[in-house]
Amino acid sequence: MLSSSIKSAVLPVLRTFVRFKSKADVSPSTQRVIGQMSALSASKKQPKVIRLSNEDLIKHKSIVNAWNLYRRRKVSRQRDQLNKQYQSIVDAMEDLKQSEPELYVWANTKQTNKKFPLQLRVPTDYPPSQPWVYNVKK
Amino acid sequence: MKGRILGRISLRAYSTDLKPVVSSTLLISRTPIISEELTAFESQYYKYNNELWKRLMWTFPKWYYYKDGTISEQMFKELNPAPVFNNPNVDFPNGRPEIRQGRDRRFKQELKLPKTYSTEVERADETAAESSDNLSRKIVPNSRITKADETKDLTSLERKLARTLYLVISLDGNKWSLPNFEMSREEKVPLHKLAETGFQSIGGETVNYYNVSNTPCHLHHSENKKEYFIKSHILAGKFAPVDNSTKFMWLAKEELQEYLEGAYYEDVKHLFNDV
Repeated sequence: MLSSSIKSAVLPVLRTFVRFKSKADVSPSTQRVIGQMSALSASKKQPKVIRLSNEDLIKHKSIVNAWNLYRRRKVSRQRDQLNKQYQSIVDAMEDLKQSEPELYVWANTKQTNKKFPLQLRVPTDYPPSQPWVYNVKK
Repeated sequence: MKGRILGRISLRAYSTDLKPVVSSTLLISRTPIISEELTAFESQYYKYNNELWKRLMWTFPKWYYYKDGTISEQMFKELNPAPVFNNPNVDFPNGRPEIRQGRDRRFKQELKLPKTYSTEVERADETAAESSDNLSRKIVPNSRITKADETKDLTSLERKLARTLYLVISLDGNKWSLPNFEMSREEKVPLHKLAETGFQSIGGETVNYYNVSNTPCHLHHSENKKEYFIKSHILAGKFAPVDNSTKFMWLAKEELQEYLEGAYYEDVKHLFNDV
């Protein structure tokens, strides 16, 4: 009687022990997605918010303002130069029209078969090993 | 506006009654090969922004790129030791560390990645070709300052790689000017053709160039002469003067100011690139 009551009290507590750690129930593809999501999500990966003091905030704003002013001046300088260049073309063409009508027609015809040269290089941060090509095949 | 310009041009009087000579000036430029030099302010601002960006960056997900227990994880661990942990028995006068995912989130995370090349001294018997074939070698960029810059060779096309250079020539070695070619009064040719043939005749045979347009980009009036400017870019090859007495130089905008005549430079300076 006693032994059976002990048995009933103990039995539910008994567990079957396995030799190796059980694998998660998710399939490998799901596990991969979980891994990717953990790399992409912000959970626990965000840095502490920067709390600037008043003085630092003023410093930061000054830096940004100085940069904006610098950019604005640079852009307006470039725009002025472009306007001048455009005005130069207009002046030259107007003069050609008046004085040399024949040259004006030649200068004003559209060059349709002209192609942009592929050899013209886009600037990079560091030069190539041979900065300039000297041999030209004609 | 148009009327005002026309009026100014038609009012111009030349010293003789003869019609002024039409000529074509070639503005041939070597475009920059490397990016623009940053000013001190620009580089400081970029550095400031870069540091802010690093400080606000998320923690590197180490577990995703380096699986636990692998050799690469071990190498990564050796290069990036864990930060000082928040020990409750220790007093931190400058604030307690906040460690999340192996990073103190108060500061930027500085990572060192395992190198693909050995940091030891290279093998002595390894030839230059062998080492350049090695794909895992350390990448060393070429210097932005070339030999032509060091020797101050003004005729080289490899000088001042970050700037636009313009060709100036001198027939007597004394007075410098942009290459200018006069049109004969009898036979008329288009202005850009005149500039092209003229350039080839003085030594541009070995040059591959690209004429930007057949439209002149500027008109300069001088003593009984009209100079129409044609823009062009040199793509490859070298300007080699046919006549030995002809001197030439490739100059940036500020240098042109020194060599060109004052009033002439003032009239044409907006055509030159600041970069």
